[in-house]
Amino acid sequence: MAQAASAHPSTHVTCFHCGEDCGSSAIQLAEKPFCCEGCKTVYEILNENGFSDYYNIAQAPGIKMREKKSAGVLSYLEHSEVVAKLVDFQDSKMTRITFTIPQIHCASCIWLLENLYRLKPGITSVKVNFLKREAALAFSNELSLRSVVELLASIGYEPEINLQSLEGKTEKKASKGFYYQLGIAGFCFGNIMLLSFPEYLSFDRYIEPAFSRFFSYLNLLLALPVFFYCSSYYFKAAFSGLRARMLDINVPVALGIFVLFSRSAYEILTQTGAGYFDSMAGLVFFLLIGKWFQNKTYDSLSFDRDYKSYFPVAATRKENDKEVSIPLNEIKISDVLLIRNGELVPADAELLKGEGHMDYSFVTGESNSTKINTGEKIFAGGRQVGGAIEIRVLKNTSQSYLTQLWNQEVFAKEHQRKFASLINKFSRYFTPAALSVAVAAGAYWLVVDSSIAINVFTSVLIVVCACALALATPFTLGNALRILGKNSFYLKDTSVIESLAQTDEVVFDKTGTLTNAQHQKAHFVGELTPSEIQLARSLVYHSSHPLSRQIYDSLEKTELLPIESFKEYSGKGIEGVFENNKIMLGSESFVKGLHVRKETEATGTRSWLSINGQVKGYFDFNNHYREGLGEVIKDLEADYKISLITGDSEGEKEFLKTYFNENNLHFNQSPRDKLSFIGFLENHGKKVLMIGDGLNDAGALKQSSTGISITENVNNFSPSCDAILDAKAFNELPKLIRFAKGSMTLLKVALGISLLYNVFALSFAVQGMFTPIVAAILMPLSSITVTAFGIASTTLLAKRIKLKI
Amino acid sequence: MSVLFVLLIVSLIVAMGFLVAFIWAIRSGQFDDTYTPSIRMLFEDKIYNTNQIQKPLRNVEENTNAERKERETPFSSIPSTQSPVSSAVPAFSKKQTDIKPCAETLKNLITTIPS
Repeated sequence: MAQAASAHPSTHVTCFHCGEDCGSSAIQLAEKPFCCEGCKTVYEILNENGFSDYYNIAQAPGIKMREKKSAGVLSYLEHSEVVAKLVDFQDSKMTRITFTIPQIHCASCIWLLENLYRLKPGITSVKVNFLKREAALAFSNELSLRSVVELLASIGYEPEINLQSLEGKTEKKASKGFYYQLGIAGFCFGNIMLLSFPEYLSFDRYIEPAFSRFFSYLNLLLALPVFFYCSSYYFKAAFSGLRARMLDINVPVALGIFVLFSRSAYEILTQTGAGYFDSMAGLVFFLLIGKWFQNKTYDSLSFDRDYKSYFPVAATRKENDKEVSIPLNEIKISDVLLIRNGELVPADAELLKGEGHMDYSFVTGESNSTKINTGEKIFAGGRQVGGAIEIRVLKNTSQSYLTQLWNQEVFAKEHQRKFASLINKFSRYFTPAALSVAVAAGAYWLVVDSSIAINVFTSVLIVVCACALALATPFTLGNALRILGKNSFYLKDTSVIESLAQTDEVVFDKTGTLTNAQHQKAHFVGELTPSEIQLARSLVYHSSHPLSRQIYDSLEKTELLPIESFKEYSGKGIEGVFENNKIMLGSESFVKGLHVRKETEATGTRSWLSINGQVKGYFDFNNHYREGLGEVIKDLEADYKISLITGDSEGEKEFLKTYFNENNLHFNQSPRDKLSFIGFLENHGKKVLMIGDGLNDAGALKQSSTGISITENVNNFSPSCDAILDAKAFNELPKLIRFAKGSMTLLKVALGISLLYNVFALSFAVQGMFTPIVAAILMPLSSITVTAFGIASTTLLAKRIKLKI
Repeated sequence: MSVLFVLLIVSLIVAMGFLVAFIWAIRSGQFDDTYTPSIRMLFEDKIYNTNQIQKPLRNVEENTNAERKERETPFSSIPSTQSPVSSAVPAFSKKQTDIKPCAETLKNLITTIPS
C-alpha cells in the first residue's frame, strides 16, 4: 500500500485501513496513509495486538470509522432486562450471544472477528456466519455485554441492535427438521428400491417365498417412517387446505401417498402382492427435493421488516441534568429525551432545545430535511441532522404517526395472497376429475370383474395423484428464482414470480427509487480553483446545517483552514473570513445582494458561493435520477400502465412529465395515502406492482400484489416486501419481469407434459394392468422428465433474454 | 441362500450408520453455514506466535450437560493453532512473502462471494 501511495500523486492516496480516498489531508503513521483519526486508531489497536495480518488477507479491509458515539449511548446494554432478551444463553459463568454485524464483508473480517479472543481475554469464542452477517460470541462473565459491544464498535464492527432484536430469535429448528425428513426419505427410498429388485426382475419365481416375504416386511418397515414422518407436511397441508375448502395441489398428493401406503400395506400383510412402497418412497423423496430446491432462501436478506428494525433499543432520557439510557418501551409521555446527531426520534415529540433538522426520508420519502423550530412537533422516525437536541415526548412509540401505519389492517393479518397460484387453480378441476375417473373405472370393473375393482380404483388414484404434477412448480419456478437471484433480483418465494407475471399496472415511488439516494451530493456549477475549494470546504465545516454537510462531503478532501468571524444567518446562509478573503455561501439573495428577482425557476435547492464579492457559481442539490430511467419507463410503458406516487412536492413535476403521463403523477402523498391508492387500484381488479424503497412505502408495498423494494446495498434494511431489487439491476427490470412471465408459460408446458404421462399411465390403470413394475418405471421417468424440462427450459429462456445464468 | 438374511441386515445396519452420521451432521450445525468454513479453513493453516496468547477458557468444555444440550453450534471455531505443538514452531506471520499467496487466494475468493 505504501508503495502504491508513493507511485501516484498525492490526490490518489487511499486509506490503508478502509481504502477510501484520503484527499490531501492523509494522516501518516508508519509510512501508511489514513483518511481519518478513526481509521488510524483501529490500525493502532490491531497492530499493537499482533493483528497486522488483517491487512494482508484482503486489501484495505477496514470499515470507515464514523463519528464516535458518545459513551452514554450504549449504556442501555447494562439493563438486565435488555441483556436477557438479547443473549442466546447466559449462566453464572458465561454468556453466549449472536450479533448481526452488517459490516462483515470480506475474509479479513472473518479472520479478525474469529481471533477476537486474542484482543480481549475473556472472549472464549467467536464464530462468524458470513452469509448471514452474523457472529456468535461466547464470553465469560468477567466481561459485560456492553464492553464487548464497545470493543466491536472500536474496531469498526458495531453490531446492529434494534427494537427487532429484542423480539426474540426467529425459528431455526424448522429447516433442520426438513433436512431430517429429506435424509430419512432418501435412505428409505434407496433401500426399498434395493429390496424391491427381485420383484422387478421377477426373481421371486426362482427363490423361496420366504425371501420375498422377508423383503416385503422389510419394505413395510422402511416405509413406515416415510409415511408417518417424511410426508407429514403434505398431510398437514392437505388437511388445512380442505378445512379452508380449497382443493390445492397438496390434496391429490396426500391422497396419492395415502392410497399407495394403504394398498401396499394391505398387499403385504395379506401376502397378495409386493406393494408399491418403492414408488411411494420415491414420490416423497422427489417431492422433498423439489421443496428444498424451491425454498432457496437468501440468508442475509429479510423480507418482513417493520419499523422495529429501524428503531433503536434505547433512548437517552434527561433526569435532573443526568443522562440515563432507557429501553424504548419505558419511554413515557412528557419525558425529556436527548437526541444526538444521526439518532432517530423514537416517539412523537416537541422540540425543547437545540436546532432541529429532521431528515424524514424514512417516514415521508421527502428527501430534503426539515427545519424544526422550538416548540414545533417532531414525528417519530425522523433523524436528527446536526447538533444534539432535547425533545419532550408527546405520544408513546406505538401510537406515533409513523408506527400507526402498522396498525392498519394490511399488517394485522398474515398477508394472504389474493390470487390462487396456477397449480392450485389447476388442481381445483384436476382433483374432482381424477376422483371421478377412479370411481367410474372402479364401478365398471365391479360389474365386469369384481375381484379387481378395488385394485383398479386404487391404481387410478395412484397414477393420477402422482408426483410429476407436484414437481413441475418447484423445479420450474425454483430455477427461475435462482436465475433472478443471480441477476440481483431477490424474491421472497416462487409465488412472487406468479404474481409478477400477472401485473397490469406499475407504480413507482420517487425518492430513493427513481433517484439514487447515495449520489445525492451537492455538485458545483461553475469553476473553482483548488485553493477556492479549500476555502469553501473550511467554511462549511463550521456549519451544522444539513446542506453544508452535503457540500462538505462532496468537496475534495483538503486541509482545513482556520476561518475567522464565522457567522450563520438562519434561513439565509453563512459567511467567514480567511486572510482577508471573505467567503459567503447561501441563498441567491443572500450572496448576490437583495436585487435578485425571486425564483429563477430552480427545480431544486441551490446554494450560491461568492469569494470576495465575486460570485463563483452555485451548489446544486438536485436529485440524481438513476441511469437508464428513461429506457426502463419506456420499456414498461409498452405493456403496463405506469404511475408515480411520491411524498415529495411538485418541484420536479416538469422534469417527470417527460417520462410519465401527467395524470399519473401523484405528489404530496403520505404513507397512508400511498397505501389507499394501491388499495383503490387493487379493488378495481388491477394487479399492481409497487416499486418503492423506504419505510414510507411499507404500506403500499404490503398492499400491492407484488411489492418490490429497491436498495443500494441488499444487506441494508428494506421494508417488508415480496422482492428486493439491487439498485444496480434497475435497468434490467423490464427484462426481469419478462423473464418471470416467460417462466409461467414454461410452467404451463411442464404441467402439460406431466398430464400426458398421467393419461398414458391411466390407460394401464383402468385396464387393471398397473403392476408395481409399471409404476416403478413410469413414476421416476415422469418425475425426471418434468424436472429436467423445468430446469433446462428456464435456463434457456434466461439465455435468450440475455440474463446472467 | 439363507446367508442373504444376515447380509441384508448387515447392509441395512451399514446404511443406517450413514443415516445416523447425516443426522448427526445436521444436529451439530454443519448445514447451518455452508460458506464461512471454506474461508475459515484457509486461516487455520497459518501459525501464530502463541506464547503470549492465553488459552481459550476451559469452561466451555467443562460446562454442564444441560448447557451442552442448549447450544446449537459446537465450539469448533477455537483455532487448532492453540495446540502446544504450534508454539514450538517459529512464527512467520510477520513475513509478508509467506502470506501473499494466501492473501491472493482469499482475494479471489472474496470476488466470488455470493450475496
